[in-house]
Amino acid sequence: MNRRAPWVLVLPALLGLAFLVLPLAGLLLRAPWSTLGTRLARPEILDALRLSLISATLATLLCLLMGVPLAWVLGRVDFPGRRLVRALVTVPLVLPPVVGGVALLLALGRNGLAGRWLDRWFGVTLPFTTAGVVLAEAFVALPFLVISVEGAVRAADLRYEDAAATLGASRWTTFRRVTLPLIAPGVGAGAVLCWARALGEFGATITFAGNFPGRTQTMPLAVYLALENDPQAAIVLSLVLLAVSVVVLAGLRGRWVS
Amino acid sequence: MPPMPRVVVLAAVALALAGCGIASGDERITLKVLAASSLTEAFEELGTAYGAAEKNTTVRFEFAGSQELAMDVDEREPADVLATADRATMDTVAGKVTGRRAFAYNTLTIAVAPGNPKHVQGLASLADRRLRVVLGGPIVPVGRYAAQVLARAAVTVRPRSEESDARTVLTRVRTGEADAGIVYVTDMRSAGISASSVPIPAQQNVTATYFAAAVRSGAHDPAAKAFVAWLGSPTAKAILRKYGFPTP
Repeated sequence: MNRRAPWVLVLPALLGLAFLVLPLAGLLLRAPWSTLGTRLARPEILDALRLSLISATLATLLCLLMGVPLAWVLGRVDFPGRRLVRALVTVPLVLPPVVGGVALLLALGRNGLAGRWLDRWFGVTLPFTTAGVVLAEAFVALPFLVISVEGAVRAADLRYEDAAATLGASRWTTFRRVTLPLIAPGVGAGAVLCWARALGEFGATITFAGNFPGRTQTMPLAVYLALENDPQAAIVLSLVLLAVSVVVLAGLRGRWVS
Repeated sequence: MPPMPRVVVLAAVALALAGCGIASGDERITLKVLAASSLTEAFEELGTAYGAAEKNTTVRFEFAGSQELAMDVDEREPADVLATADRATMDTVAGKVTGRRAFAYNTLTIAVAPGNPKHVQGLASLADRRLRVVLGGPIVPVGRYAAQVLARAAVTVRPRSEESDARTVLTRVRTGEADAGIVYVTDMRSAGISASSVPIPAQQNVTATYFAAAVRSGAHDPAAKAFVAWLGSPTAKAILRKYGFPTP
């Protein structure tokens, strides 16, 4: 079949493509390529990069610890209100991140619902700390992991688990030795998505954790603040984030692209 | 929301039509004014007063840290008037604005929780590492002024966070995340009873100077210049003083 695509579809399609590609082209064209190396090596950029990588990785680990069991429960256990729980899990996905940051302050801030007791009993306060950054990032990134892993859990063939159970494996052993290997690709993809989302987190982080170089100023915060006094540095930082995104996309290409 | 009574809707439509009638006589103008966050309440009243005096002009505001607004003028969106909390920020857009003038002053104070539970005595108290201090960032006017004040008092502070405008610094204190923050004296009024302040003595304090200017690329050049000039009028000065801003 060789039908020509109607122009009413081709034209908006091209427009859409240009709309997505043009800003990236702008970034590449206005990048200070000649001084890129020296700019990247500046301590404040390295600080932000290091903090971003560390906090996004910790947030992803935290999400794996909480998210995989959550996804398993949602995908395997039939309980009343499951649909409601699933809806609740996806709320941070659609919630504006700044609102997430305010909510985190109300819950885990110094005068927050739980934060008050953390402060009083353990002397732990989360705002203005790297731990606060990790929590803010985990809050917005967790749904990405849960959705991805839950899909894998549902797709996994139940007969393998049944076989393991008939051979005398406990449910925990079955989960560890059978289910987890089966859903590993889904967990991996979810973790990568989760990590990318955590790396790009801005709104919840600045609202909940504040902004201080080396402690809570991650790459996206540094990009935004650099725009105000050193636009060239903002472009350099943006390029780094763009490069990371491309790498993530390449890592996932087997799953989505192609 | 309950449905609006039909009479109200009709009245609104009639008013809108009447408005259009006036507009056809001479041009209606909406001035977009970008103003430092500390000016919020004072400028809202100034806008109302200006709209009442100049029937054809409506003033619309956007409040943020001066350095953010300067970036807007530089890069992003069309605006007619820029009002910053210091000269340095206005200097960053010197080529893009015209007719700048100093129109108000301010001084700094230390914002603390209501009743000052941490017993902050003055700037020297802020050096205590156990105290959670939040300041404006190094390129934010309130942060720059705070750095000057702290340098004068020879106090070294390690802030927990650097915020992008004076009101955000105050918010950190109001919500209890920070124990103390350096803000403008006039900001305290907006906090009401949700924050107390510890004065900074005059010999340690600095005078903040607010500048306004018309944006060159703005669509309403004469009207923007007129608004900037009006900021020096007795009416405008009276409103600024009412909100605690000394005027030239």
